[in-house]
Amino acid sequence: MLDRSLVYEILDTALASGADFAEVFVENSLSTSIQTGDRKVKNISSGQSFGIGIRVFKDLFSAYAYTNVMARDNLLKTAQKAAAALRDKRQANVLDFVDINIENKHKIKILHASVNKSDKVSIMHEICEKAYAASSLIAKADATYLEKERQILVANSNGLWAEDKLSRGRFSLNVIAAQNGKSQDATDNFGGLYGFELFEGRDLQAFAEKTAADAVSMLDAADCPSGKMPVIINNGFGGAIFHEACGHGLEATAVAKNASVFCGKLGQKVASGLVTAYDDATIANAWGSINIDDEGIPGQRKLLIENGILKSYMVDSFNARRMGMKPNGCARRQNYKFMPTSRMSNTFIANGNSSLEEMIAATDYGLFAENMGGGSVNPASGEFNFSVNKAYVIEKGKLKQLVKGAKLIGSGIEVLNNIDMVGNNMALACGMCGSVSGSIPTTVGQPAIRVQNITVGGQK
Amino acid sequence: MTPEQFVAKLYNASEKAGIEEFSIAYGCSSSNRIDIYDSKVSNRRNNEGQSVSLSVKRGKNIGSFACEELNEKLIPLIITEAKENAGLIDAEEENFFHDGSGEYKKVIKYKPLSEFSKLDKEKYLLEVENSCYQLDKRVKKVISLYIADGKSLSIMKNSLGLDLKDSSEYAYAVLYLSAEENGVTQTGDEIILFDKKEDFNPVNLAKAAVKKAVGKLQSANIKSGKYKIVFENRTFADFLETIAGIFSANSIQEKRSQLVGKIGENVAASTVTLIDNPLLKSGYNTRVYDGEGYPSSKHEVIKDGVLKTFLHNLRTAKKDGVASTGNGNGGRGISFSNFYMDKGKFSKDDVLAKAGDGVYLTDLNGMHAGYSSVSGNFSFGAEGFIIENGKLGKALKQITVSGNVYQLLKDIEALGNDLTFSHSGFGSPTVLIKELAVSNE
Repeated sequence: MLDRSLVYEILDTALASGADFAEVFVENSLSTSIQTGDRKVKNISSGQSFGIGIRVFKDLFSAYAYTNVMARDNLLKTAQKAAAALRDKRQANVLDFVDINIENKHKIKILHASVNKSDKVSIMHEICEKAYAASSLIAKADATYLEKERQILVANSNGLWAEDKLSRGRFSLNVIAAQNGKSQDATDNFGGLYGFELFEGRDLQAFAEKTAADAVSMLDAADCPSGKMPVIINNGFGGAIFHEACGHGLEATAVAKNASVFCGKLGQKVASGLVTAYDDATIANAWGSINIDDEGIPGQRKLLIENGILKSYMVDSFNARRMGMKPNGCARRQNYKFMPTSRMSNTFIANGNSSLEEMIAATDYGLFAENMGGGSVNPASGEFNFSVNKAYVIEKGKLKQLVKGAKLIGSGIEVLNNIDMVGNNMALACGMCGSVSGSIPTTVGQPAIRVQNITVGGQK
Repeated sequence: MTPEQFVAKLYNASEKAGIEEFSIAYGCSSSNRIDIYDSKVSNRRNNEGQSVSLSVKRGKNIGSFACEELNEKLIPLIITEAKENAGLIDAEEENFFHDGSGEYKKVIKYKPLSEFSKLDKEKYLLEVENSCYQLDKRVKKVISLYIADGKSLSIMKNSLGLDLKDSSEYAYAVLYLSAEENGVTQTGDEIILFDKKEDFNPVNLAKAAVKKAVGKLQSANIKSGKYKIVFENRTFADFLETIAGIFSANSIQEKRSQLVGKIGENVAASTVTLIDNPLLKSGYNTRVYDGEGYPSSKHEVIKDGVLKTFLHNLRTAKKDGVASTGNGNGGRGISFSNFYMDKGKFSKDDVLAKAGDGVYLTDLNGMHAGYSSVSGNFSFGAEGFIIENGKLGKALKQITVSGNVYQLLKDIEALGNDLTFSHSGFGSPTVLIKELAVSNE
């Protein structure tokens, strides 16, 4: 992407005023997005992005400069800008580059660029038609398809030279059902580190029918009850609860600044003994996976919580300095315009022993949150929220009234300790996660879990 | 090659390629940021970037390609991609470029006071941090504190004769801190935009964030149920930002808003007037023209409770047989300018008194989920205070607030005279709502 001698020169320039470490991150990406609606192609846009971010460290100080004017003299000027805050004598030199050998765990079968856009449009129409066909109440089926090829180079003054290239694709479907002047919509999606084979081997019929059925069923849904009650949170995107209640609080971004309720709790019990959770960037072709992170460190499978005991944080190289720990391959950023920091990849609660049926049968009164939306958290106070799109009231061990969406709120450690049943049907689901280093693809996941007592914010 | 040279080359190449109608947008920006942590400068940033996009009209449709690398070698790719994208779009409604006609009014944009260029940022930030700890011993940690500033330039040029140039600048400081008492940690934040003299006093920034954090330390619970709700002015501005899409002609034509066919009808309480005003003096989204180069003008979306207009771009306007309202975002979408609820006649205290007993909302959380414009249903995490006998009482730690936006507009019972704007350009006074569902214990 950039010549080695030029990268060397950039790093050397960045070290000139006393930095103890310098890093270059180069990113070149090509993306396309297609939107269909009302059986037509509404929009196609595509774009290219190519830029560089240069970062220096001196003890607990860091500086960052980015540009996308890639001429040699401007790149050296940008390195000077990064170095400008320091006014000391040179302290370090650039070591000879050693290529790190990266195994591509996320192989692509059909390159995005090798498929005509019209073929992509065809499959989008095809899925939408399946949704229309699912019920006469479907007023609208709109689809979005996004694909991105991202090539990165990370080189640093310690001699690291790492390059990687990943392809991502994601399809999402939004269906509106309408009857007697009432409208409800439902959304579902799938994605991963795929080329156009994203659509292969999937039951697209079932996917479209399920999304359509969700929208239709909501037309007759009652208002959700309010108050504290037991809630069974479904598998897949239900894992958003762990992502918010715990995941963000384990990122060094918060931990290093003593701004997380999980600070100082390594080795301590932070969750029910039924909870074991991982952040695993190595799952083949998963939406949140990486080969290397945006600091050039290979992605890892990290045990976060084992039987309720906190085992590790997610640590990037700058916060590692504050924490006296080693970085563990989780530094990520939306693009070169952001400094990287510790972020999640594929984060999930591992399987337990209960079946979903057993969990429902064991609940006298509560809520079964079947279909979930996103949420947010304040890591410093531990307070989080996330959305339920579709739920059922449970009475005497049986699913009863279907109810509309509600927000669930709680406090991280309290809710984790309140998990009293863990299912055996773990599934992953795609999401986008926003934080200080931008919006990145992450996977959430879990088997169905039961939280003994959590606040439900319905309209009733 | 300078950006102007590149734009000229792309323009000529597009003409040569036989493209009859096309438009080129170029933008560049630069920014700086300085962070303080533990009484030291912890991070400095110094950034610059540029991008160019070509939009091509084929038949009724416009396709585009955006590119950050201003490399002559990429010009054929840019043209081929934009043309291909345009050729695949088959939506029935026609898309347009603007020819530059109409009155482009002079505006006074938001810009930091000239004092900002003389500000010793490091000293200012250190004083903010120190003030936080001095103001209240319960302040636990200044977690994030920085000043960011930047400027941007945009050029828009098309084959119909449009040729526009615009620039903007900004500066702001952000403070985020935690406070602790009896094992309870709460956080407070504040942002200031350096457009008033008092913004330069570090104590003011510190005070605002400290007040928020410590105010939440002593919290109470209330029973779940329906309550009268008073939104703090800037909290309702955030709410407006989330729901504004229901007034977008794009949402209307896509049937993602329940206001379809309601022009001329009462859709809100008679006290409600909602305005989109891109010409607002010193507004954060004040602009001479929109993303399509169409000249700005002020629009009353709701006047005294009656829906008057949706907000249009060139495409949605043509479809509805009206003129664009100057709300194009440059793509298919709608861009709001300074979008606000006009102020009422009551002081904030009067509004609280009218509420009697209820809940005062100061923060809404998780608004990106938990809301559908199609049904209008929302359920958000929230923070605020109990209102007792018309006065603010104890803090409410974390609650949920749920309702339906189309009903909420009709349930507005009183408006304050304290109109304020969030930094994203949405504005509101204090707002009293008849009732919403609150969940707490």
